[in-house]
Amino acid sequence: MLTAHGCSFSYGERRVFSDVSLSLHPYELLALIGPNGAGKTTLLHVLSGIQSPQQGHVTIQTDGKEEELFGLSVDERARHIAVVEQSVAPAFDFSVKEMVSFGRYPHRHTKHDHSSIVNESMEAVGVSLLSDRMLSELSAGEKQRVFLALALAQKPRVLLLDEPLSHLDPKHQQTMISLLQTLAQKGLAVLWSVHELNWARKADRVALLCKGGLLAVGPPSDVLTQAHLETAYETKVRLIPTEPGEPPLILFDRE
Amino acid sequence: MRRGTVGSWLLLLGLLCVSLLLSAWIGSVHVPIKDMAFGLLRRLRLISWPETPLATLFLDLRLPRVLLGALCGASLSLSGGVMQGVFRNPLADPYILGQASGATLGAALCALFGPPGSFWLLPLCAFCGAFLFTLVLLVISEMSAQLYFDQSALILVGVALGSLGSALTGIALYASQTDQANSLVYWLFGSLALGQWPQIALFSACALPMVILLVQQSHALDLLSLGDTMAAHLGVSVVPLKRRLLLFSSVLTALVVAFCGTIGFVGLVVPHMVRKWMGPRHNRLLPSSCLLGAAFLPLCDTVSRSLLAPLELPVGIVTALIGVPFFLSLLLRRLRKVKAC
Repeated sequence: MLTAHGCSFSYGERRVFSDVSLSLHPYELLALIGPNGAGKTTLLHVLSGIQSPQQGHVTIQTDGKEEELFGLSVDERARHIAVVEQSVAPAFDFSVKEMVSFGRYPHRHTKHDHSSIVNESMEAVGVSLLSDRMLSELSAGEKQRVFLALALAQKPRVLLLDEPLSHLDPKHQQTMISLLQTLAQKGLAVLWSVHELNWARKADRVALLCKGGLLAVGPPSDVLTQAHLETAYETKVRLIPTEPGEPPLILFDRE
Repeated sequence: MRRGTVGSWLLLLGLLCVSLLLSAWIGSVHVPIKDMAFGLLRRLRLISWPETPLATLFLDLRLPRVLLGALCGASLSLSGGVMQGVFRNPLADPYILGQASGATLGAALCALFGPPGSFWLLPLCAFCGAFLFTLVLLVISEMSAQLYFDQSALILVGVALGSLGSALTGIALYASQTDQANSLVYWLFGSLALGQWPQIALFSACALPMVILLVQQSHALDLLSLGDTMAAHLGVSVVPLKRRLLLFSSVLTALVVAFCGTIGFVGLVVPHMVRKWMGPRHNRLLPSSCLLGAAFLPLCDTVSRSLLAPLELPVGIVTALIGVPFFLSLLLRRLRKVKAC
């Protein structure tokens, strides 16, 4: 549905990645992993359409036909693709309901029942009871869910999340992963970048970005191998077998 | 906490009415309410009544001044609210991009080189100066679109332009005759003394389109306060939006400075007070800032006319006396919040 075709991106003289081709499909949870500085956030921004690659292009399926992502208007793009950034710091203190209602901006000229959609989005992530609370009063986990509700209010077909687990404790990380799996099961194409590799085992597919390119893309058991991980992270890795058919647990050894 | 209730709006409207009435009534010359009311009805051709000299004083001097104060207070507050949204900073004000310096330079050059006694020339030159500085800033921003994304750099360009304007104004004042400089000083500190009906008509005609265009951007401004990246993800064209907002609010600020000089702190204090009361959504913040600003500035002008009567302080001094303690308390609260984090 959303496909990057041979994309290359540089910041000035510094090449971030070259010739990256990656596709996202509905009903799929894709984990994007890689060391710091590999370009995960940049790739997310290229896939979301807010940054244009110097080479290559990105296409998206809309109404059965494939279109250039950068040929769509900003509103149209926002109707198809929603992004949850790693950290969002609003300049002013909005309530939870106000925040989630911002997700309806791309649909502002439509006659949809915006209020119902906002309520449904809050319900889907479990923040309905917080609707009148101010964002500043919430915990990191609650805020992350509010930003996810905001993204869902856009009614996207593609959901991109930049390290959504980074500020969460283990319990909330589990809740967030379950939520993402549920959203993928409902038909969304979900891509999330993650540092904690053991969470990547829960994805349908994993893409490993490092050293300026995609080292591997495929099911977790094919990507999360000792060879791949040691090449990407330049450190010793130990894989601990778990259940049959499940990808192994990953531990990083000290040199 | 319920924000923006009907009661809040009624209270704002009530404050505005009380402010306008008080400001029209209080002055160095006492005008009976009967003269005020009948004079107004007569001018509106609703009654026939022999207009008294006091009624004429009220209708031709005091009322236009009060209305100009309301219009300028509303404009500065709106512009301040927009700037705070664009720069994502509740400490931003309408003069942040150096327009006031440009206007002052235009006025100084007019006082120095312009024909004496021309009533319209000073505001025109001031407006041209302010607008020119705005254009310079926008041209610099267009040369590097990145500047629109770098708030600090944009502010620094504004500070640089402001400093340049101040320096050039200083040269002009230094080179001017005493009476030319004196005529400027009162204007530099802000004054509503130019308030007459033709000025009000012209100001309203020029300001109204800017007000409408700015309030229309309320929803997009909300998204801008989430950050440029998030706003882009949600379908906002960030650079064109910022360009429009900076241009329209600069024109509005330039209009105010052209007619009334530099009146500080209104555009900083009023949106900040309103935000605490009506919430940060710009569809409530901007109109309510206009209402509170329209109430605030005439009251300040009343204080400036009455405090040392029969002497009249420039209204900018009164707004500064009120605004500086407020601004400092804002800053201290913000620093305490950062320290607590």
